Amino acid sequence: MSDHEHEMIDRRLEDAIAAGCEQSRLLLTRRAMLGVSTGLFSWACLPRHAEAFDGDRRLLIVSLIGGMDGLHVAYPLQERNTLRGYRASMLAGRGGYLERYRALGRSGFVINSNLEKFAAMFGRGEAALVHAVAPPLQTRSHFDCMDNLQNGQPGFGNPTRDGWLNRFLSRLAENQPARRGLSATGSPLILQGEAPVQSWSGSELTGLAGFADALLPAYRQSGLPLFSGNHGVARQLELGLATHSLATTSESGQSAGDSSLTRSFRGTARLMKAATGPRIAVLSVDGLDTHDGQVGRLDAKLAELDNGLDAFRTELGSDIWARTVVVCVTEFGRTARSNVIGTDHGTGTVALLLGGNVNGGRVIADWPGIATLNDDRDLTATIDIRSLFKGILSEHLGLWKYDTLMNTVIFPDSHAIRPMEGITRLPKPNRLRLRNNRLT
Amino acid sequence: MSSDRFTGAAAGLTPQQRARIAVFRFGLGPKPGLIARLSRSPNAAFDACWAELTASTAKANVLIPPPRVNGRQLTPDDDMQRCCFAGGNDINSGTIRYQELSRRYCKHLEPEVGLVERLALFWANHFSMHEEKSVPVRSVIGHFERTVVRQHVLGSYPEMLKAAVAHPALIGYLDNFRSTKNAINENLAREILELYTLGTQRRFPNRSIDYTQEDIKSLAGIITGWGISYRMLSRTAHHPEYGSFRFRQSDHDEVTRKVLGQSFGAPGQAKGFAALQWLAEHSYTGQNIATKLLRHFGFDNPPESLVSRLRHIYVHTGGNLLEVSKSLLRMEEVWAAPLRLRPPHLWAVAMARGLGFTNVDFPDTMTSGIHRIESHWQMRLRQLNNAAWGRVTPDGYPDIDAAWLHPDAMRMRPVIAIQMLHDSKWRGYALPNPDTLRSQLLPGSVRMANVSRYTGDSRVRAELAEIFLTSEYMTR
Repeated sequence: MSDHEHEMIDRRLEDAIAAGCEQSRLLLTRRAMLGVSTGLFSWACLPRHAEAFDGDRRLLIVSLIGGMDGLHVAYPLQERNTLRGYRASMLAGRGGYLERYRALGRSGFVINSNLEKFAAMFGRGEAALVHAVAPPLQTRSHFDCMDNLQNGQPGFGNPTRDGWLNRFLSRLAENQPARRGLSATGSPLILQGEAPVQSWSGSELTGLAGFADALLPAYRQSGLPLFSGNHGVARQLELGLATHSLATTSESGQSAGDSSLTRSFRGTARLMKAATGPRIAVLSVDGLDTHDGQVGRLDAKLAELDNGLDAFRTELGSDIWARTVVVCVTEFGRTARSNVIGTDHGTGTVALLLGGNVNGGRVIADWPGIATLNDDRDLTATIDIRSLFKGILSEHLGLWKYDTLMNTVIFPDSHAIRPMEGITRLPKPNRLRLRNNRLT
Repeated sequence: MSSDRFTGAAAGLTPQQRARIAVFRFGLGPKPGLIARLSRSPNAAFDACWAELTASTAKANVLIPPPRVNGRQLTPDDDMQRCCFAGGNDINSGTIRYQELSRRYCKHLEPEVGLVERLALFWANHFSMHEEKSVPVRSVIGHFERTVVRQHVLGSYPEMLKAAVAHPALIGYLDNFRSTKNAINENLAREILELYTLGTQRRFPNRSIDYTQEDIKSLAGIITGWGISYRMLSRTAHHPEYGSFRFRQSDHDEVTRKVLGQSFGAPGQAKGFAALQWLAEHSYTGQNIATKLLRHFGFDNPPESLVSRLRHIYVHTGGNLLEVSKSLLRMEEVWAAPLRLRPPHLWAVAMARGLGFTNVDFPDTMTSGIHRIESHWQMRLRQLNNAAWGRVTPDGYPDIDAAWLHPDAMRMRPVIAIQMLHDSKWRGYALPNPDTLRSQLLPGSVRMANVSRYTGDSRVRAELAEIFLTSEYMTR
């Protein structure tokens, strides 16, 4: 990107902040006091002209870190006996555990009863499951597979360290609202890259009033690239301050008794529903690595996630929910057989898809069965997660499914991976078209 | 006067630049007067680092004595046992945890440059553990750092690795106490390969061979039975070995197994020690560790030529960490590397040293579902997402700028700086005169930001915080 372009973005950004996201309110991660960890929240903001963004769609990607056990979340009723056999040791003393799962419509699948609110959304046709899905790299390594989920590469050997969602954002034309995002290069990987992205942790701590502003000229004049460069401290601080001020000038609306994760979801929704707020967000949730104590830990985590997702829906309001897609993804599934009390790293797993724009009430799967296991170990992945992501970009956000950017830039070397179809309910937004190497 | 130690990439650095790089890149930040002293001759900065590494007292200096619990100083003899016992008791585990963390933070304040202390932190992060995993794990992470990491930080990596894997902290954190020949749990074995030895596959795509799921299963089988003792003397009384490492022959699978084509068939626990020794000496392990060290001390993306040189030293010396550390220090490219952002923990430590603290903590009681003593210091670092023992995943805190240089993190730094200066009042420290302190810490530097709008204590805090936010204190 040229320096000139940076200039342009900077100025618009300032305008956007001045005129923009004031209604936004965020109260996010509270690692601060209690050590509860829900991960970093980041978003690409659409400060102004959000109305012009075709269809005014919202996308939230929830990144479940640690490898969520898809078979613990949902399985076909017909395979209950097989699963019970695989997990006899883990379910010992929990008589009837698998019987307490709820039916998902007439899909033949049943779902963990801790995902009660999700199941209700499924019943209303605004949530779907994608099962037996995995990223293309299937090494059962947390770090490799989570990187792969976020970098959009076909496998090993990604020379660039950026995320596929950022590559999409960075190709949007400057008059596309998503392109005028707030800036950062912070975690998570999926949002790292050339396009400016904002981050926010929801801490309400403040120091001396105006003190941080006084540091800005010092950084700008330092002459050190680390301080004054395009991605330097000055630029990051400036954007962090702007966001904080947006967040604190807006009304507070947290509900007593919310868990920290629910606060994160609620705060995210509050910002995303603002007419001029962000449209695309990523929220990370950790604690899914259940080698040990799986039943108790995962059940509690699913209940927490369920509450968080429901809070997100409620906070967003029905009008905006109707234009929203939320997708919860994880780096891999886990072994079909339990290791006494938990499960080890596996392959195929489940993705949760919800939102008013989801053509729901369905389980989307090419079910491989669990009588025969991948490597005699875990659920075979029959859906490449890139096809789900491509389907969302195409049907929800308007990137033409045959666009070369889709197959070469956002998801390199992925011509063979066809976008999933029929994911959404609303008519597709107008197709983004390439002009001067940017999508408009 | 001896000839210049630097003849290559770092030869053009002035003595004062060298002094600043020594204390910020290789050290924990200056104490008053140090930079002036290290600037007096071209070699002074390098020599100060070298001396910390090679002094006859170096290995002893980095050790931390066992904590005091309930008014009683633990001894090396009962240290492990008492820490493990605490794992059965929430209140005691909180006391132990607080003591361990507090002593660790205070230890950072002692050395002149702090290079060995930095290495200890590096290796602690290499074996990063999360204190919320379980009460027993929380109780012994401190013991692990004192007796595994610090014990071997200038010794042998194979020895450090074997001690690490045979410690209840890692066995507990990565679930190996659950792993038996009838129900293998792969968690620890996988991370031994991915993190502690060969390295995750994606980081090194050009390798000719790599480990597979079969190798992971083999290694997991080799360390079956490496567990934790839960022996009781009665229904209420712990056996003296309760909570400590225990090899259970009955859970161990005696099958001979291969890892990367190498057979391990020795009986019992010896099988695992042989595998760990072999893995620790592997050249891929050397490559992984060389890359991580260079990433910590020099570069987001370490140049292949430097990785290769450091790996060679590692492999050639059988993983001798003193020799590896000496080579790292001698790499002029690392001295001359571009400035990167100082991660929050290192930044906060530098600030405490600059302010002349001899103690960082003032205990405060908080409730967080479990009873425990929390410290302001740890709390502030938690707010910056960089608290000790706070990383959930076993890969440790990242060592690249992208992880720390983003809007929210940059907004929080000034806030935390002011908060920490405010906290220091509660610890009984008088705030020094900002101008005097600046000239003692960073001779020749000037105030960058205008904070004249503040008055009284606020003015002093703003001027002090400004030193730590607009200078080399933000760099490494």
